[in-house]
Amino acid sequence: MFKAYGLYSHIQANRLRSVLLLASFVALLFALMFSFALIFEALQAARPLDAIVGSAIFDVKQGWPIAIGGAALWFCIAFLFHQAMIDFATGSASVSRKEAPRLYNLLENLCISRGVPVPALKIIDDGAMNAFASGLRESNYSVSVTRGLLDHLTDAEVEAVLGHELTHIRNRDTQLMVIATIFAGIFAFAADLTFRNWNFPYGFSPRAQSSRDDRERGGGGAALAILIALAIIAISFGVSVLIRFALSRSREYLADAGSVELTKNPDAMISALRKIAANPTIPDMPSRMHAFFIESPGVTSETGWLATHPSIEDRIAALVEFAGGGDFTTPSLPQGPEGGELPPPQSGPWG
Amino acid sequence: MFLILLGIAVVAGLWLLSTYNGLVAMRQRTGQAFSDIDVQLKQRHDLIPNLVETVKGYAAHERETFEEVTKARNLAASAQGPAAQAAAESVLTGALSKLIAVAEQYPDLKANANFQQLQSELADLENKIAAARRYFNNAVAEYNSAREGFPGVLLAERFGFRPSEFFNLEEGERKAVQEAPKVQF
Repeated sequence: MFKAYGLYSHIQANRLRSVLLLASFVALLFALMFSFALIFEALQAARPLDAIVGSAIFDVKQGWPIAIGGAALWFCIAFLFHQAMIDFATGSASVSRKEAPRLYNLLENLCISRGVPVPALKIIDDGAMNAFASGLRESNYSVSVTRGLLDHLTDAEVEAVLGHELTHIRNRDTQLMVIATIFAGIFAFAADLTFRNWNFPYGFSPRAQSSRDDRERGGGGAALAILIALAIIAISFGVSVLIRFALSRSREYLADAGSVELTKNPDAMISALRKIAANPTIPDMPSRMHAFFIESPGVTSETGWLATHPSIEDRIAALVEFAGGGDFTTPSLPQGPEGGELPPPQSGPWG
Repeated sequence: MFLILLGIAVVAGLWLLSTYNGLVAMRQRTGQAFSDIDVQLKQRHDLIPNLVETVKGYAAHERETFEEVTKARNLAASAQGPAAQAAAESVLTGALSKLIAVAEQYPDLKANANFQQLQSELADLENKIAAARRYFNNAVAEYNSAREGFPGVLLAERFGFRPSEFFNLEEGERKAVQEAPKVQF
């Protein structure tokens, strides 16, 4: 987006990208309003196309405060419900300083160096190597780490991972991704509703009462207008999904960069990423939670535009290019109990 | 038409403004990164008296080496300004590597738990100093690139953004890095 020479400019470029993506959400919201207005106007009296479009634009100009107000209300309600859902989905137990002194000290040192209050520390009992940050309010912030990660990564690498998660918390990425999810939800709801012919529950089904005569006289514009509106709704749903994933990827680059800012050790981040890439899978993790982990815990790999994380190679390339990292080490795979093989992932799709 | 020109002027103005702020921020980062190296170097200074005392307990007659290390440490601790500091620190690293080399010749000393712990702390500090210096050099490279690129080059001279210098390895240090302090078990 703009030329990045090093860590600072890389961070600024990604922040700019995030702002533009969020602004695109708002623009899409206006497109959605316009398409609803189009449908509404088309179902009124029969008119040629440009008259319908003209009325629709007028409606949006009049009605956008109400629409934005409605969206804001939706946001507040959905936001309040999200914290409970996240906690329920991930099921990790909180850990005290006595139980994991090494980990707690690493986290505390990082927090002190930035003057950030220490989030709650949790350990997930899983052989996979992964970590995530969550919490929508300061009292709720937490960083969770799997048992496998603690067992297989060196202190410097664990510190890099903790730095990554701490940066997510400092950048308020948890709140941002929830907002992006809620936004995407609005478009999904609109698309769903429209393509089911506006069948709201309880038999409420707004339809226009125009007569057939009206429609046959000079009013071919209505069908075209509705077609255009449906296209807009479908496309904005698709684009909102893409925006959400692009936002998630951008924040991951920021978190990697932030981890290097905290630890000054890009090599540890690179070797941690290599180790984690070997076994990040946590089965049964709902897909809406994937964005919060350091690497996607999904059983099937995510690639391209629908990926919540940039590929490990891309992330390492960014660290080498902007953070002065050196990709020296060949990955040393953690030794399983058989000695030499990774333990197989927990349970495949068939049991 | 007028509105379009106004819009372009506003965007250009904002672009220059953000470039200026970016240069200021990057210059601050280089300063902060240099201070961070300082933090690690001071920790090394604090470690040395204990190390010297431990080695003295087993190799009391190596007076020359002790004096050299102590003198170098005091010089480094009192040095002012980045150039003088960098020079003094490289002399200190050279003296330290000599001290460790001397200590390697005394098996009793090598087996001493206190000495081993100090040695591993020293190795850890050397790693942290290296990491801090790499970070500093990266910050300097970024700042210099922004200064010389466009539109930084328009603002740099006018607003007094001078180029920064890298933290260079000098002779004593270069030798010391090649024989980094080893931790024995």
